Amino acid sequence: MPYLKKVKIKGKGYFYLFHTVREGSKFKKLSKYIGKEEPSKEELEKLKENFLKEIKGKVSVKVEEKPRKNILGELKEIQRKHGYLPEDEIRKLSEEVKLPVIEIYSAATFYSMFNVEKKGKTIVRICNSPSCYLNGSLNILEEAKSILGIEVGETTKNGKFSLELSSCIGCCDKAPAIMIDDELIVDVTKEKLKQLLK
Amino acid sequence: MKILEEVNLEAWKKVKELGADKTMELLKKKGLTGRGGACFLTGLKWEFAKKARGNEKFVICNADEGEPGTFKDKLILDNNPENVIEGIIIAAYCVGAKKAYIYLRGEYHYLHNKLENVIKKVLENAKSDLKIEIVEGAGAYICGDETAIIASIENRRGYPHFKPPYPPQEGLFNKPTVINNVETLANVPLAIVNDEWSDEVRLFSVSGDVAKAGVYELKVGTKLGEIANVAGAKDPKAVYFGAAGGCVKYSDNFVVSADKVCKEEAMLGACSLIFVSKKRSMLDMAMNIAQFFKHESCGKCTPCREGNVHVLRLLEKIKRGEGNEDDFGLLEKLCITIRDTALCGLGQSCTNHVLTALKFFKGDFK
Amino acid sequence: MKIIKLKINRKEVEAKDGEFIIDAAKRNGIDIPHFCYNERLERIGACRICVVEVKGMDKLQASCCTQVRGGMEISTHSPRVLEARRMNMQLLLANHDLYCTICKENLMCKLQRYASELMIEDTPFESLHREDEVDNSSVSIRRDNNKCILCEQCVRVCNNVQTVYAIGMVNRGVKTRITPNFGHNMKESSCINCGQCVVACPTGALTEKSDIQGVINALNSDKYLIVQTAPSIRATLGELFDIPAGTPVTGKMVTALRQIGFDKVFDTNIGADICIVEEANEFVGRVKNNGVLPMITTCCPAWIKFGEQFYYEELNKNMSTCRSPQAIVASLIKTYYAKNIKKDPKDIVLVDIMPCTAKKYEVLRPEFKGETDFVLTTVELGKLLKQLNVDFVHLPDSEFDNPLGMSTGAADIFGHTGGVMEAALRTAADMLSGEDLKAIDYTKIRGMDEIKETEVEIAGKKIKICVVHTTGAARKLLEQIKKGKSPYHFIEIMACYGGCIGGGGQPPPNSKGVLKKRTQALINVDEAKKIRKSHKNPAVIKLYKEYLGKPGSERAHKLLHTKYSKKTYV
Repeated sequence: MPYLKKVKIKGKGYFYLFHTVREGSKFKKLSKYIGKEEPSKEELEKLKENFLKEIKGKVSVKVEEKPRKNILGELKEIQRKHGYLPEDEIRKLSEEVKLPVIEIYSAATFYSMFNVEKKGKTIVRICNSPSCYLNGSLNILEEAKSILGIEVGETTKNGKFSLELSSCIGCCDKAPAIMIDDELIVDVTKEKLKQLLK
Repeated sequence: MKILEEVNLEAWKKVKELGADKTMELLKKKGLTGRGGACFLTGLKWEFAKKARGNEKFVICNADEGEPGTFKDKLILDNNPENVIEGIIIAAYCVGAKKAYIYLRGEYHYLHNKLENVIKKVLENAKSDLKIEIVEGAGAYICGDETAIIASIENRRGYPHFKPPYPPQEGLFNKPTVINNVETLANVPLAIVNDEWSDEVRLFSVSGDVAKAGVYELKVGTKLGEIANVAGAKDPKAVYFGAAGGCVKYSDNFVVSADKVCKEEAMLGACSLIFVSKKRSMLDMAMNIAQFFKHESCGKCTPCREGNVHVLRLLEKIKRGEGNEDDFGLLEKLCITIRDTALCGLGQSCTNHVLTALKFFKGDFK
Repeated sequence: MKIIKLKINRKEVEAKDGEFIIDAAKRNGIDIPHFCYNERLERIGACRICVVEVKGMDKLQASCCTQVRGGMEISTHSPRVLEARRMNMQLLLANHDLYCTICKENLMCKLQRYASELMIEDTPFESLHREDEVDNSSVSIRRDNNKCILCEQCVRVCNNVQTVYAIGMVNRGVKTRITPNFGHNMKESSCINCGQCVVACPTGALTEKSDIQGVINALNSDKYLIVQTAPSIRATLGELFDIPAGTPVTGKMVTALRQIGFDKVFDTNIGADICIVEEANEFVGRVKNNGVLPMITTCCPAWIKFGEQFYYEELNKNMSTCRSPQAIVASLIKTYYAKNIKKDPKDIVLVDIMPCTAKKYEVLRPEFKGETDFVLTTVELGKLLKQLNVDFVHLPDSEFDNPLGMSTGAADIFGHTGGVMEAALRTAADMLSGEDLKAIDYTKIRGMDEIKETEVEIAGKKIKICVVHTTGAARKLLEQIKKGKSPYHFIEIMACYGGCIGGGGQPPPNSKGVLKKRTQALINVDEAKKIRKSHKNPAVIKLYKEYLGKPGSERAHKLLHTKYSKKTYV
């Protein structure tokens, strides 16, 4: 129900009607200026009625909430299947979950593990964070570069491998560690690397 | 280790007898604080969320362990995920949530299926109708921040949000949300059931120039010398507290506690220790960590996005031997500005490592 | 609405409880520098230029995201704050092109202004030498990513306010860029050319596509030069010459255009009057003959592209077939007027001065081929007059040329939201009731609310009206119509907030205060006119008598109506 209140602004008093309404998940406090004098009881009733009519009369177009389904899992599936995120797959996903394409594209390019351009079939990520760095990650990197014959950020000519550097992957106690696609490989040595990158 | 003790839903039984309010009182009395680095009283956080307006609430388990040198949550999820699930069920009960999320970092994908099975089993045994969904991250360190997790689950870019409003008031989908670290939630049932449980016992992830890297369960207040001994540190010179915590000079008697570390202008955070031996150059370490922050900065706010590039460039200039006094002065001023004006925790702590290294090891930089 | 006391820069001031520091400071005379803050957009606290020092908090706080509390002590310009602000600006400048003198946004750029105000005289950081794309594909908007400072205003306007979703942020960290989908360009994207991003952008990253050189060439050719000016230009052009906002400058505008070489200066307002006559006639026809309702006005080309892209199949029958005022006048000039002065339409060059960038797109539609030759926005006209060194402020007043220069008050109010509907109701009410009604001020549909509705009773019929501005609000209404649940009969949609006075070609900033003043200027012009109903315009009556016949006649249909088609986007 609306209620009357006297508000002091710069020393003078003004009368307002206040009413709280719910808008989606938030609460909004609406106010209406009445005047400098306090209205009589009958006047007040009429003012309250008109105020409510005004508020209810306002278009209550439903505030549509965005779909809540999380799409990171679906994007990972697409990445696993195709090796990257092709444009038409994202458009298909956008139709399914009713999210604009630009929002999915924008969110996908934010993460390191998603690629929107075609890369190698297998992505090799070499951890270069402090613990792995102290345990010889740069040697492993040099070995990988020489086995594959590419620099960081490039893909081999036959399209099989892409080489990237990565931030800490949580295997600091068994450093140096690398990731090959989704798999964590720990205690990496030059010999182990030669086996993995055949 | 105490953290790996099985509780088998004993705590859940007790919580149902005590009720939500008394459980949160008990946790506050026992002094359980967050293990993600912020050290906020867990019971108090849950109380804020419970009191907040609205009838839809959420619980999120933060398993996005991205801090370099931290791997304790992996240990817990590998060996005793049941405790974590029980902690989530208790949190949801106290706060009044019907849905919970586990934000698992993408690199721990191998745990996904195992966790799904554990969740099903524990929920069945607990006879709880809570829904728990696992959302996998995709390689972003910033998504360890509370508000960035919320953005990530909402299908947006993982940008952090200014606080206040805090997540217990307005979080996921604008509803009150409680976000807790894996270790915190694993400690919840232990704190409720064990009388001798102490908040001082933490998991320390020790790595770097050490012979026996791994997770050690130690008391806060242990001296560095003891840790170096038990982990087999090889001639330590400095210790980094993760990448965001900064470094301190190694000394056998240095007490590892939040306030002692704070006095040295570093940050204890999630208790990760990276030992650096005497043969290393602190300038190289600083460049390595600066590269990490440049890559992981989300890019939303100016000081962190642009500043980290210039921190790395100045360090490279110094490495090339072209650095002069002006460059050192500029580097320090830049680091302080980034720390003072950045939007989120990452930005505010990303220059600790430079400032502490310059303070203690200026010689390495010349 | 509690009023609290706090200290700003050691002076005690009053503020509303819960207000943000930047608003409280503005009301007390301090304009804290900011890039990403916009009163109509979601706060993000990204630029960190608006930081202030608050006693008791050890880090600097962003004043756009921090709320005031009683007893706070805030310092907006202490040495620590100025140092931090300066360093953040230097970081932005290190990743920006410093050749201001040859930049399109020279003297109008916010980055430049703050660098000057903060007395930045050196760039201690190495330049990052950006080499990003410049996208000239769109006919309305030029996108230069090298000048972008990632304040995200354009993305928030396009996605949250307009819900067009043409551009977004891509990649992370210092590699972040703002582009359309998958690296496509603006022309292929779903951009509706409304230009709200251009108004919001504080640097020269998003600007209007310039047609000034084409106009200068035409002014020096031997063609017959005609110019027409839109209803809202007269309320906003003055701001580019430091005349206070809300001062109509109609007379000076006409003199200036004549001075630079135009042979005839016509008023788009007469097109607005004709548009009302045709549209009211169409509406009355639909009401009487059970035609498709609700009917939606179609003066706004940005909204038309929006409708054709997202709702064509469902809603193309609801859109009025009447052309926009500009297209009506253009069509009449190249047929009726050309015949009158015995000139070949090919020897006439027609320039439109319009408030929006979308008009540049509209005149290139195949349905309007050969009519308008160039479109200049308000901002471009200001640039043109300055290039030709016209002393605008001291010009005397003069009148539009006839026969296409006379207009009623109903045409002037086309420039603000609700105006088109008000003008249409004045005529439709007379048409339906057959009387000359005296109550012609429909105040319920004026104002800045995004969705306004009212109900009028004419000749015993209850007509439900809805007026919306911003395409985001329009989308809510269109979804309602799509589901068949719309209770309205007549809807006005304007793509820009505030209507044409807030258009993409108007002088920024389009803040609420400035928009209200511009609206009031148009309302004043309307109230001062003797004739305030479109169908009573003697020039319009003469036009119909001599040339067009009756409203809705065959010739009227050919020259004054148009059709729509589905538009695709990537």
